[in-house]
Amino acid sequence: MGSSSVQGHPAVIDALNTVLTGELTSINQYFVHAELCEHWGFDKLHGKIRKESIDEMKHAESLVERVLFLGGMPNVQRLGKVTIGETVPEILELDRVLENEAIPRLRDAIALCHTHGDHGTRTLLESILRSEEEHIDWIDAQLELIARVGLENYLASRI
Amino acid sequence: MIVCICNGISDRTIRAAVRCGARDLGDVARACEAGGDCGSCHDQIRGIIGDADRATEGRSSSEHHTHGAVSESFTSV
Repeated sequence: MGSSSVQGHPAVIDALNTVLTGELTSINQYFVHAELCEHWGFDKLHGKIRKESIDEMKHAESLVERVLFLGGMPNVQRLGKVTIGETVPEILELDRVLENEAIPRLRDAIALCHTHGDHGTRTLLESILRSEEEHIDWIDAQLELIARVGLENYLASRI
Repeated sequence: MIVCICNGISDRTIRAAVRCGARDLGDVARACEAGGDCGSCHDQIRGIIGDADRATEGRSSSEHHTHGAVSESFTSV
């Protein structure tokens, strides 16, 4: 393994690995949800949720790069709990649960980076946080749409 | 929702097993296979058993659970 000229604080590396675990978990859950939507014929939902899964993969890539840069070892062995929805509203609710766990984890990690003066890592985590906020905002909009127009009308618009 | 990904078992199937008498992780695994492999869903299954326990306590605080035996009549839903 190559040595890095920048040594990260062990607590920051741990926090990056914790965030990475969440991203790896989300990749899998969103990927299965995207494929389920395609299987059910909801092509628009498939495209959107698949893109969310790939976004999480890009986040994981940048986290792995950063851990290596800081002289740590990225933990890709650990995975959180994946829970798969059996209906579209359940899929949205379960993805919302993962995002609701990810956002405070990112905020805590950002605060930790600030404490240790690791502004490179902080900037990376802030960009991931903005992406997760946009995702949960989209999920909330879908759940509001379902409440407003009814599930059948919503689903008809997602074919 | 699918709680046990290894065996594709839903929360509804696990709740049915608990209704039929499953009172711990071993009972649930024997009844419907949920939680019998990697163990990642054990916390969720414990939560479902806990929900059922609280509901039972709500109905009758004097009644005690019988451990181990799962009803023969249990069928997967």
